[in-house]
Amino acid sequence: MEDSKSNEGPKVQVRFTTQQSKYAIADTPIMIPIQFKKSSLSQIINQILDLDTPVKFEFLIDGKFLKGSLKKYLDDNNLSSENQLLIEYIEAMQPPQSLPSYQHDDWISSVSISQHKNLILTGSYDKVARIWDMSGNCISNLLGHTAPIKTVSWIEKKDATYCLTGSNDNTVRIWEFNENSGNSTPVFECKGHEGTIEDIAITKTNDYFATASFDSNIKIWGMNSTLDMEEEEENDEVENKQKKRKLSSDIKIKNSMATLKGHTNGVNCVVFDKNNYTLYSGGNDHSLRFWNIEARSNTFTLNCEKVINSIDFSAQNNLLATGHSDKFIRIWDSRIKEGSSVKLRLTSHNKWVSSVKWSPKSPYMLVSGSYDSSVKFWDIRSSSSPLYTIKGGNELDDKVLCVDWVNDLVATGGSDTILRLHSTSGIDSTNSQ
Amino acid sequence: MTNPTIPGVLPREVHPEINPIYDSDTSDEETENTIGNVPLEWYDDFPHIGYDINGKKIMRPAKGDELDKFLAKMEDPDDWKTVEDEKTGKKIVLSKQELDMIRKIQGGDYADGYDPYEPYVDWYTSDVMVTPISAAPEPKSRFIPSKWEAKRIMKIVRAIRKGWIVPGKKKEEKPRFYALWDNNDEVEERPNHIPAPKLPLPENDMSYNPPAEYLPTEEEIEEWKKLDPEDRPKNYLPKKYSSLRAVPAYDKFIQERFERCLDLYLCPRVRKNKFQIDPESLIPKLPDPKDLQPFPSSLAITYKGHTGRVRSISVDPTGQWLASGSEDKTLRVWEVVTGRCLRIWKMEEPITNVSWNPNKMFSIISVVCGDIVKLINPLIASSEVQHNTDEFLKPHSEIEKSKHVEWVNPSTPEFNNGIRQVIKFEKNVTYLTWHRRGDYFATVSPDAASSAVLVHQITKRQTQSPFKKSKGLVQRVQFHPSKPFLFVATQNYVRIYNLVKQELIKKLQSGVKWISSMDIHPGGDNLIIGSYDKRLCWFDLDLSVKPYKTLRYHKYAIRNVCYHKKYPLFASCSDDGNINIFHGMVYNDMLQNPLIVPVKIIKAHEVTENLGVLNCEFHPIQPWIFTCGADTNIKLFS
Repeated sequence: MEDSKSNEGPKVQVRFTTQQSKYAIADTPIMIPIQFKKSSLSQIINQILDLDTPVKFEFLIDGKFLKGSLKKYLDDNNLSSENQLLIEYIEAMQPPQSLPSYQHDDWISSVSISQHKNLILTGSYDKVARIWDMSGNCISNLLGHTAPIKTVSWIEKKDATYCLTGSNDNTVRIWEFNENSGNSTPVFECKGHEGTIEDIAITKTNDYFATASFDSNIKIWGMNSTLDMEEEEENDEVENKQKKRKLSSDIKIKNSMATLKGHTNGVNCVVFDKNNYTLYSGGNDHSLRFWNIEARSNTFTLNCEKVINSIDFSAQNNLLATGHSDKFIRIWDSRIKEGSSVKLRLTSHNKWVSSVKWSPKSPYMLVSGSYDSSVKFWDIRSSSSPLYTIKGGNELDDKVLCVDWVNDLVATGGSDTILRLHSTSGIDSTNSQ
Repeated sequence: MTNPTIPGVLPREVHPEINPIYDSDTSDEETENTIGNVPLEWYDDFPHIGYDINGKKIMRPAKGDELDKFLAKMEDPDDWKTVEDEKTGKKIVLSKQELDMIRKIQGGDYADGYDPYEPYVDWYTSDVMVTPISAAPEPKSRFIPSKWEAKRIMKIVRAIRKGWIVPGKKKEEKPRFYALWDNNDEVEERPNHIPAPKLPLPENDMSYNPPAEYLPTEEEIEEWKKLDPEDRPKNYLPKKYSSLRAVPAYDKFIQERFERCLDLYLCPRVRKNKFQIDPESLIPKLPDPKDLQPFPSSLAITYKGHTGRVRSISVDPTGQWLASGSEDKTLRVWEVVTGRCLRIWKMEEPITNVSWNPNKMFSIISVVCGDIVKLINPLIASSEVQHNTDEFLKPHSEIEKSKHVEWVNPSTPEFNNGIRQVIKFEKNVTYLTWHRRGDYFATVSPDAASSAVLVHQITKRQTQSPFKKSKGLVQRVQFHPSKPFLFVATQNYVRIYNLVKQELIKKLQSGVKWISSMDIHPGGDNLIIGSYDKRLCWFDLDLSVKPYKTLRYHKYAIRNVCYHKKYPLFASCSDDGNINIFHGMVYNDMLQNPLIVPVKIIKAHEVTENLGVLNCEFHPIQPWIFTCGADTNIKLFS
């Protein structure tokens, strides 16, 4: 690109690389004026590629996003313009597109998007969990809990689809969802916790799930039908049983496979590692605990200064993201067991962070919801400010209580009783190494 | 003629031996002139030149003429050494010795042959002779110490003891050369020395011949003269003189001297000592609030829903639920972490107090509205706890009537609503507090004179009145966290009673005008009270009955004070809409006093109708604080 504008001033030698094969260009150094910003660089790439429709690119130098001009980058890093810069470019993430939102009757405490079907499961404070299709129809109402539902989750097996709902009535219900008829029938009632159910985590293999409760215990439950109905039947109090029989005769009671004790206070969040036997949990006792499911032991404990409200694990980069009852999102490296393992602290929210979720595709992206009624998209390569901030509530007082991000869909719910959907495209899966 | 050399004796000069012949002897000369030492020219006109001893004239000898002289010169070989004696007129031939002498005098030498370069003889030698001059024994005085010397020495010793003389101290050496006109001449250090103020240096216009630009114009002179002498910026007018000689005597000399004397006479001879203390150093060293984390600092959640002033809040012992009672006659239960209102109960009267039973086995909220206390099972705990609670509050079939209160079983709709027990009082109840085990609770109804404080037991449905006489207007009561003590706060005093022995243990004198609230440290040895006259007093029960610290940070009356159960924190809330958070560390070491550091002032609520924050309570586990105010909101600060 000898013609690269007849700009005066100093130039710097630049090599462009990309990991997105469809946008690859020849690896030849180019002289570029140093006052160029990312928009100009984007134009250059577009010219080289000769694309029909212009594509916006983001530029990374040394794993950090370029902000401002090249000159600023050189000045900030005390580099001279003699150096050759290796700039990686990726297609810019498009701002999330707002999709129609679904009105609920009451606060939405939890949301879960199905991996394979275009369905959304929401749990609400009106004690009802609802299944929505993408056109905004409520397919099914899951009625049965006697207290507000705090957490919901999908389990999609080859032969059947289940919904899990955890509630303030200290039980988890497993519902079988029949896609054809749109009916969902309660299958199991999981009893055992003595505190409200705060979170449910499911393994990748859909064999087990773990529940976090305010009674400071974590319980592991099996999903295989062969594992059900263990010998603990007689432990149940006779009275309780009778009551339940009266309530709904066709619901079977399920007992937990294991109880993980260790937290000294309520557990707020649990998440499984990709290896299915490591579990991470965070709670009101300010600790982040690592559990081995097979040994049923607490293998490691990290202490943090604040209550952990939410946790998510990214299979792509082995990082844990936690949302806290201060204004920060902390990124932990699950592999580092020594010293301070807080890798990053993302600050932009001005109230508690209620929920965090890693991108299902990119190892760098995450989304967070906060009590300041905002939902923010982050790229951990630019930790100083979020990429995008979207509205999570009508008023500043509205709290975002839950977010979920599956495929290209982000769903948020909160105290404004509206389920908000956003589509996120432009994050190509080839971004991951 | 050899000189004998005696040691120590100067060798004598050797002179030639004198031959005693008569011709050299002049004593019997006949013609001795007797005129004495008179000028000889007096006799120039006379034929004689004097008189001999017999009075006869000595005739002037005949003088030869020039020829005779010449002849004599030629003939007489001694002529060159012949001189004439003017007195006698005779001719004398000088001897050889006399010629020598003349020659020496002429050469500038000593006439008599004195030798100035003789060898020096040490007559008074320091060498001790073998035999002493005196062999007398040593006198006694030489062995007796001298009284006089002793006196002198004692004087020095005393001076050393008093520190006037410092032995071994080197005298300060003055520099040999110094600036003679140095400005900062060192003032001699005297006690109470007051240095004279330094005079200002003379200015240019004080000169007898100032440059023209310093001379005042006519108008300036007029203006100067118009001013009063005290108001004049300068007490002189610059003037120009042709020479120093022309300068007249200073006309204000007497006046100035007089004023100077007056100044000296009137000047106060007292030195005002200024403390050379850095005011910063007087402030006690307090740790930085940053090091005292965690403490609540920012608003996290606002609990909205009440339509009247929220009078009272209480957090359940697990920290999951919050109960609030308001003047809109509703009791609400909230989920702490989300701010969600879960349940609402409607009451007949404005609620003055809600408080959660501290026992985790039960889930009971006590509500005070008017003269009724209700015990409510909020039906949100786990089934086991709910079951326990219902068993605990199972309606008694026969309740014995107390003379102070009436225990009433709830009606069926009330029971379905969670209300498990109703207690009716004679007078309005203002405050209710639970014993830590959750079986007993105490109520305050200040209007009820002797039965102002009542202690109730749930298991027996009994009410006792621990005091026979009223000791003042009771404001608050509280149970000791571990011992069977009851703290009763009246307007000015806090009394501590032992409930088992039924006796007064201590009476704390608060020094405030009207106590509004009280809280006891979870350790049980410390107590804070808040007062309507803006004070917060910390009592250390082991130290004294007077406050250990009194803090005045609020602008208006303090409504409530509270301790955190786990963290070393306490807080006060006031009608100025603020809550103050303090770090209050109590040490196990008995010798160390509690450390109190203010860490945060939070503007919590809007002031409405002169009421600000009405109540505050810490979260039982987290370093969070809940406040409720007259602006109908409840807030959580984390």
